[in-house]
Amino acid sequence: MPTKVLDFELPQVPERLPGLAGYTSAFVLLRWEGRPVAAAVVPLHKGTFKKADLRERMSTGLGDDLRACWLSILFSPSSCKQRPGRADVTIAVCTRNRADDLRKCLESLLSLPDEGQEILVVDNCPANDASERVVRCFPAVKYVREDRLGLNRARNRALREARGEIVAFIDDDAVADKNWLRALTDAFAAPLTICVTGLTLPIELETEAQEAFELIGAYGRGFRRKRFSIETISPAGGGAAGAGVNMAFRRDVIEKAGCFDEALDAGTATHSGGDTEMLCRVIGAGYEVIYEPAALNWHRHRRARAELIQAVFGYGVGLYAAWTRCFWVGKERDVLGTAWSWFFKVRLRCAIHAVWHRSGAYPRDLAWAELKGSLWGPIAYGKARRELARDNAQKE
Amino acid sequence: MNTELSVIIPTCQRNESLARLLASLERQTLPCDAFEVIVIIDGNAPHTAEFLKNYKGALRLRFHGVPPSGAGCARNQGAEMANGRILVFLDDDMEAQSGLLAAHLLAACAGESVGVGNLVTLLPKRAGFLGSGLRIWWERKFEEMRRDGHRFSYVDLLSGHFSIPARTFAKIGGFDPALNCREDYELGIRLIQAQIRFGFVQEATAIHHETENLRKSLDRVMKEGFADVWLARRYPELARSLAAALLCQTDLKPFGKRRLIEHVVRNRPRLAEQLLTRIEHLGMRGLWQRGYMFLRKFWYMQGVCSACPDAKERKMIFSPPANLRKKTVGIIDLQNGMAQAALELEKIRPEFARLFHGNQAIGTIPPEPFADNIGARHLAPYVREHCGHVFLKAIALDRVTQYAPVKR
Repeated sequence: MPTKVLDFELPQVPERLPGLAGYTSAFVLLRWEGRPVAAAVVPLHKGTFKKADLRERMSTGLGDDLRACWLSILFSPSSCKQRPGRADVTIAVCTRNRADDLRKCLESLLSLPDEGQEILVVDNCPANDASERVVRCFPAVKYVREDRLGLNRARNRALREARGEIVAFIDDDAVADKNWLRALTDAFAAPLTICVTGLTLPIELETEAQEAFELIGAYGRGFRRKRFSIETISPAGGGAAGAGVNMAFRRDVIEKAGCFDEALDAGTATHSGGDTEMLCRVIGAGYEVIYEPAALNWHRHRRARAELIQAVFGYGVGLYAAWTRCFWVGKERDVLGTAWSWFFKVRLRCAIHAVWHRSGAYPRDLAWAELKGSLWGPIAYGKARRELARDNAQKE
Repeated sequence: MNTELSVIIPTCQRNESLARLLASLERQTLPCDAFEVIVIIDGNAPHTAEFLKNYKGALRLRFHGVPPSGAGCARNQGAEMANGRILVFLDDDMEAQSGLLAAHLLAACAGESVGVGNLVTLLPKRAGFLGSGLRIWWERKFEEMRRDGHRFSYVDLLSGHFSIPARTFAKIGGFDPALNCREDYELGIRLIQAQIRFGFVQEATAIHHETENLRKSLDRVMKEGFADVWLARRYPELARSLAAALLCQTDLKPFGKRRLIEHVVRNRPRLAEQLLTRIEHLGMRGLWQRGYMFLRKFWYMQGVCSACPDAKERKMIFSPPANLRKKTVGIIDLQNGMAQAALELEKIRPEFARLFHGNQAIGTIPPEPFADNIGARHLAPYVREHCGHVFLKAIALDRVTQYAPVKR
């Protein structure tokens, strides 16, 4: 049964919220002064949300997060409250054949506070001109067409075309929260920080596939700010820092860590992993990635089960393809150990648990799809490299 | 026009770097006649002297050669020659951003006694694991100083880029010529003892062209070990906080694995470094990190042992009695609000503080060797980061006991 997504500002949570007929539970996001602090799934009784259920859920698991957030707000230093000088920012949306989603995404971006940011749509090898027509409805948005297929090619094009010092990427099937851009750019305070990622939550949980996606926590990174650098993690763990749906880079990342690898991510044999590999590379190059949960955006998860299984298979392929790239091209040999233990201790164990239906286990089809993807990843990367080399040779 | 600032640059056979620094000083927002530049050539460097003789730029430049005696002595010599009210020390591997001198001048006028300048580390293209680690180390250092409520201590004085009033520098006696390394820390100790305040001057930014390599890094570590013994002897209060304090406590087994590796490293030092370089080429970051840390500890202890060969004496030096000096303590009650508590703290400015909320203990701001005394600006950040949860619980408990009906 579907789950209703609710968004409350603390402490104004209503005692009761009726009129949610057709939903059995609610995914509740709690904010404090606009900043997301916690989320919980609470049951609904006859289509009514009750505050008491939320309180019970909070007392069992969310208290620490809330206290930490309260503290940071209570004692936030005056220097944190003042915004640093306005950074020159470009928002890049890489899209392909999803005109309806793109319209919603652009509407949300145009409703952000205007701080002179540029909005750039990179249309990647479109089948028709639907996306272009959508963009034409928004005169403030810049349209660029990238005819070579591949999400990472579109990202590289965005980095080249952007005029901002910071380039914030958002997926075409996501919408930005009102404070998204500000929180992302504010986190770029230290010169060492060349990438900031944000929190992504579901915009709807209407189908079983969407609930399953949320359950496996593909975008879940928590509500506390985290910093990732080689002091704390191995470069192989870059994927823990965030995902391409919600990330921003300094434009000079190209000089500091290199371009996105065009043999990775959607549009190639590897399906995904371009974002993960870039995060690994940034960390390996001795820079820092900050995960800032205040930079919130909302993602529309895949509605159909078949689409979801395909996506999860793609995540498996992408992760192992990214690690193959780190090992082979980036010469990060420690990746081998991480990939090995992730496969046996997490993926395989997860798949076995799913077969026996142990409590808390992944859905079986998703677990197996990811396992298969993990096995296919290194081969897919080799294949994608060959295709890329062929494309480049043809172009020359 | 009076000379407000004197820029003092110790150098040693690095003409290219020196030329880059001088060129950057010519591009300052402050007019060139408002400051003078004094270059001290440390040791025999005829090419540097020749280069400076032929200098035709806009700067008011003077130079002087001294026998090789370390950067501290060279800086002292520069300070003696200086006419400026404020001394700005810059190393020759720096490149000043255009507003650097103006920012130091402004900070000095605003009352900052010692202005620690900001550095942006620039690495060569193939910096490797060592380079990226160094950049993070530098960045963390400045990030900490930028943080609200940072408590400045002797380790924050970085001789590569700082400013100080000439009168203060002369009064304190300048750098200690006995030290070839850690001379900045030692000066920092005396400045803190004299209750001179430090400040971080964010706008005074220089690009630091880092050229460290493995050999240089290990040489430096050995010198640090040597200097730490000197510091521990002179300032026993500091001894327990030095790295050697921990390392001197561990006794090695006569035939342990580590002994064997140490034997190899001692007898074939180049082999160990070559091996580490090979590991880096292979991309085995974790193994490299462990190997590098091992070599660092080894060479650090070599430095310590060369300054003090006797193991018993080493132990004595680095584990002096815990309370050598009675420290001033502040008892602060947070019940009347943070602002009131901060005011009380500012009045006392103790070396360590015990925090309460009514009768409930919240925590302690511990004493730190040769650090700024605790003032109002340190309180809120400390409570937030170290004892926030206890503080919130205390508030909650206070409210509960205040409003709960009393049973008779």
